[in-house]
Parts: sequence; C-alpha cells; structure tokens
Amino acid sequence: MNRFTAELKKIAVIIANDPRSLAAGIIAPSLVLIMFSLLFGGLSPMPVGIVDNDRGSWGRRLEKEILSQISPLGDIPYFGKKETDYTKSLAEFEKGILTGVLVIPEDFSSCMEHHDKPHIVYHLNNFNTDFAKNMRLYLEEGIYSFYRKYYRDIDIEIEERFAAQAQVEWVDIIAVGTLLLAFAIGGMFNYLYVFFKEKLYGTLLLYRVAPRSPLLSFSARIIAAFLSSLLAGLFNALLACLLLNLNLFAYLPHMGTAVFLTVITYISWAVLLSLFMDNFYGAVMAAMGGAMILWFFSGGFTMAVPEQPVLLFIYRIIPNSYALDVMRGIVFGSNAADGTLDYIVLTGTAAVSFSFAVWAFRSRVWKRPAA
Amino acid sequence: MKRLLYIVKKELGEAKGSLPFHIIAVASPLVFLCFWVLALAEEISLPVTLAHGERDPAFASYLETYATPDGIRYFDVSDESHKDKNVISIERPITVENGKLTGTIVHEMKSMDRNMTKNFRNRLTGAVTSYIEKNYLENRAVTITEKPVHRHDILWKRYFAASLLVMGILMGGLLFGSLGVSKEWQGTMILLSVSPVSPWWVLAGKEIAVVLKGLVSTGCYVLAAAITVPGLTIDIAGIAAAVFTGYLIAGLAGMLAGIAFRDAIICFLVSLLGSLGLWLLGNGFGTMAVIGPAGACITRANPATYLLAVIQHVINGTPVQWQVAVTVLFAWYVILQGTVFLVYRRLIYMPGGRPQ
Repeated sequence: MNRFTAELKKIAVIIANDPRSLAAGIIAPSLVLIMFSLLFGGLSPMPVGIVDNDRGSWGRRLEKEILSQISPLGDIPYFGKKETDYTKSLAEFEKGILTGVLVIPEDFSSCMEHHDKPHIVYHLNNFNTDFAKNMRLYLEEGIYSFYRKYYRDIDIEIEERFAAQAQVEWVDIIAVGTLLLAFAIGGMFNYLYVFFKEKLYGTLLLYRVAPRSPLLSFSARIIAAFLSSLLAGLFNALLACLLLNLNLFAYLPHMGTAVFLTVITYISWAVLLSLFMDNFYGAVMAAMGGAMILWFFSGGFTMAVPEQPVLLFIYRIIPNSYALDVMRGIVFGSNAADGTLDYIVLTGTAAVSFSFAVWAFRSRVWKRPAA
Repeated sequence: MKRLLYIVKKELGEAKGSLPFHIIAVASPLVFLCFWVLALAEEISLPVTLAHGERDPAFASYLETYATPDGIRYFDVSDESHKDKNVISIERPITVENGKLTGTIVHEMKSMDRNMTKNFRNRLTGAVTSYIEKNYLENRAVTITEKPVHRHDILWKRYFAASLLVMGILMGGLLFGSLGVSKEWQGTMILLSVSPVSPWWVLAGKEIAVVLKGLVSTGCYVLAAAITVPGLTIDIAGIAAAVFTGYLIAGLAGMLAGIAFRDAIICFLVSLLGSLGLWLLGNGFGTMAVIGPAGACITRANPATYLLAVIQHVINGTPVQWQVAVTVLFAWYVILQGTVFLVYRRLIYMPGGRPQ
C-alpha cells in the first residue's frame, strides 16, 4: 500500500508542477459547450423585412399571423420583422442581414375580397436546401394559420401526440453530450500527460528492473486519471448550470455507472496509446482528435439515430452511443427501454479495453524477474 | 532570396517532427466531409410512417410527393413502422362536408428533441396547406411568387463541401502557423534572436511554408470532395486564390498563438477550438443571423465569414459582395501581418526581448 500512496504522491507532484494536464482536459469540452450554448442557447427569430403595400387590411392580418407563429425550438416566433421599407429591406437582404423579404402588394385585400388569386412576393436566401426549406415552411405555418382564422369553411385539424414525456431544447441535448466528452477527455489527457512526463524524466525505465509487478503503479495512474476526469466533468456540469440553467449535478449519481464504464474504456485506450506510440504529440492528437470524432459520430450533438447504414454501423460500435442513451434517458426521461443492453455493451467494452490495458502495461513497462 | 528559400525548406522539412499535428489538420476536414456526405444522402427528407393512407389516397399520395420547387421530397413516406419513427395517421380524410373542408390528421411525434419536432411539424403543416390550396381553395389561395437568390437551392452537401473547406483552412492555417513558432521555443528561438536576418525574411519564410502546406492539404480535400460529392464544379484558380488568402490570414493568427502560448499542445487546442469557433460564427454551419444582433456583429467582423462567402461563390456560385469581402480580408491580413511583425520584433528580435 505504501507503494500505491507513493505513486499517487508522485503523480500529484507531476500534476502540481505542470497543471496543464488538468487544464487541457477541461478547456476543450468546456469551449465546445460554450460555443454551442452561444449558438443554440439564445436563438432569435429569423430577421425578415415585411413590406406591406396593401391598401386594405388583409395584408396586416396576414402579416400578424406570419409573425405570431411560435417555433417549438426555443419557443420564439419563427420570424422577426426588422425592416418595412422595400429598398432598405432588399439592401439588407443582399448583405445577409435579413434572411428574407416579404412584399404584400397593393391589391392584396382587393384580391382577397374578390377571390382573385391574392399573392405575395417572397425574396428568400436559398444558400442551402435546409435553410430554404425552413424559410418556405415557416411562411407556410403563417399562411396555414391565416386560413384557419379567416377562411371559415376550413376546419382541418392537425393533432400532435407526443410519445415522450417532455420536449427538450437542442442545446440541452448537446450539453449532456459534452458532459460525457469532458469525462472522457479529462481522464485520457491526464493519463497521457503524466505517463509521457515520466518517459521524459526517464523514471519509467526503473519499472523494468523493479522486483514487483507495476500494477500498483498502474492503479495509482488510473485513479489519478479518474479524478482528473471527474474534475473535468464537474467543471463542465457547472458550466451547463451557469450557461443553460441545466442542473446536471442532480443526475450525476444516477449516471455514475454509465459514466464510470465509459471513462474506464477511454482511459484504457489512453493506456494503449501511451504504450504503442512513442511520440507524445502523436498520442495526444490521436486521443483528442479521436475522442472528438467519436463524440461527433455517436450522437454527441443530436439524439437522432442515423438512418444511413454506414453511419448507423459506426454509431453502434462506439460505446459513447450507449452511454449517451443512458445519460439522456436519465436527464430527459427519454429511454423507453430499461437500458440493459446499453449497460451490457458498456460493461463489455470497458472490461475488454481494461484487460488489454492491464496486459499491455504489465508486459511493456515491466520485465518479469528471471526465476 | 536563397536564405528565404532555405527558411521555407527548413519549415517544410520540420513537418516530419510534428507529423501527428499535420495528419490531424489534413484528415479532420476529410472525416467531417465523409460524415456529412453520408448523413445528408437523403438531403432534407425525413422518414415517416403513414397510417390509414387508404382513408384518403389523394392526400396520402400528395404527402409522398410533397417536395421543394427543385423536387427534393420533404418526407420519405413508408408504411413500415418503427419505434423511433414518427407516424402520420389520417384519422378523417380531407374532404368537403356540409360546405366545410374537414379532416383530421394525427401526428405522433417520437422524438423529444424540439428541433426535430419543429422540423416534422413544419413539413406536415406545409403539406396540408399546399394540398388544400391546390385542390380546394383555387382562386382564394394565397400564392407566393418566390424570388430566391439562386435559381436552384444549393444542395446541403454541396454547401458543406465548400463550408468544410473553410474549416480545414482555418484549422490548418492556425495549426501550421502556431507550430512553426512554438517549435522554436524548444531551443532555436535564441538563434533567431541573434541572427542578422531581418524578421521579415523569417516571417515570410514561415508564411510561405504555411501556404504551401495549405495548398497540399486543400488538394487532398478537393480531391475527396470531387469524389464524394457528385457534380461539384470547382474553379481551381478561384480556390487557389481563396486558399492562399485564407492560409495567410489563419497562419498569421496561428503564429501569434505560437508566440503567446509556446506549448505545442496548447497551440493545438487553440487551433482546434479557434477554427471551430471562427467557422461556426462565420456562417459555417448556417447563417448566424438567427442568434441575434450580437451574433450578427461578430459575424460581420469575422474574416471566416468573408472567406466562406468567397469559397461558396467559387464552388456554388453564391453571390458575393466582392468589394466588402476583399476589403475585410485585406484589412485582416494587414492587421495580423503588422501585429506579428511588431510582436516578433519586440519580443524576439530586439535586444531585451525574451527569446528563451
């Protein structure tokens, strides 16, 4: 046990002398969360120009319906009127300040009253199919509402039923994803940093001539990496609390098992990288870049399961997918199943990865003394 | 001149020492390109199960064919049910009863993601509106005369093919620039400080190396994009000019990071997150007009916005305000070049600096 505490002390000294091992693990996921919070945490309505040239009152009514439709995403109106002058609207549209300009012509009311094909002109930016789709369909929401309100012979119902208990904001879904990323990267980075520092100092060589197995040292490293992982995770949860008012701390005890198993897996991969790559930068690049890419492919920023077979296959083989399924199930109540499959996969991946890590560490760091 | 060439050669040769960084700078945009090309194989079609289609075959058929003006279907309709798939059920057919147009459509939402709820809701509302306009409202329907910026909507994957190139330029430029300086802090900075060579030559050599590496990296990307995104037309001269400008600006910003942070890992983090941030705030993922006036201000000051606009123009023919784009990019180049020169001269080259 003395050797174990001595190892822990040694690692603590290495970290204290160069706290970058902690900082780097915390900074990356935190900045990812901050960026997505800024982008999707404070959405505004699409800025549009509405030029109402109508001589009657129908134009105003249509405009009111268009501007009063509320998006489920962020509970904000789809459109926000920023300009009413035609020339200024078009100038701002060309600069990209406005995303669209709606022009209601002079004879709109007259056409409405005489059933003479009322029409409007819509300038829209179709720089990609998704954005163009939004611009068109948001307008359709307003027009549908206009029909429902003023066309008394229309009595069509669109009823929505929700299978899920609640609806959650996109940014909250991303926040749970970045929490897992923080746990994963925090531990990996710490492990790699400490291990390569020892390579640099030459102290790793001493294990080769040690009379005892280095597994106590290994345990100390794993625990230090775990603590680092915990620190990065807690910091990320604090950020989610501050930026999004999403209290992930309350769910951490329930998520513990899934997070623990994922962290074990990632730290084990860090162990393997440290042993099979000579270059510290190469190992860190592989760890950080790999973790980010795996996060991206495993639904880090969306709950939608990929439809495309290749992506679905990749999604299924990444343990994050299962951990996120459990974590989001706990936070949002989204998981209809009990999560047994998720836990089985996570446990299996963690057990296999950890076994490999132990074997590799023992065989590459230590030489068994000759009998 | 020979010295300049020597500096460039040395910079390029030293890439071997930081090969992992170079690999990640080249490979990351390629990985994301592959992801988006696969993820957007169906473009904007969302899968949905249609129940009781037989109750109103006309509407059921319309739902299947409801599409954008370019013919991209909004729904991928099937009668196969799946636990995660939304279900649209025709409870009462859309028909005229007692002088009223009636009908009940039930939409069962499976996702709890508000974004997906919005997307599904919009599509169904659009389909119902469009259906009744075409079949029942006749002259009472409010018709929309569209005046889009482009004759055809630019396919989402083509948009990303251009957009991810900008991300690659930002990441590569920042990374190559910062590594070019940070490696000097490991011992050779002192040699630069006692060298009689003007800082201009040293900096120019490093910048040329960044741009050359950038052109190689872009070559790989363009090749991958041409293979994975069919029909992509690329104006090589235009791309080369935009890439040259982009790598120059990002490389100079990276060199500032290298002088400030010194450590390669910190430089990597700064490059990774800096490129992601600049890309997102430069309309890389879509317009930032949706995040309000503050977002719009940041976007207007962001060089990535203009670089993206130029590259979107070169690849997808998006209109670009050349005068504004060229002015802003040139201004950023001048500011960064001046700052890098002054900082380098003051901190490293001049006596009393801190080259250690």
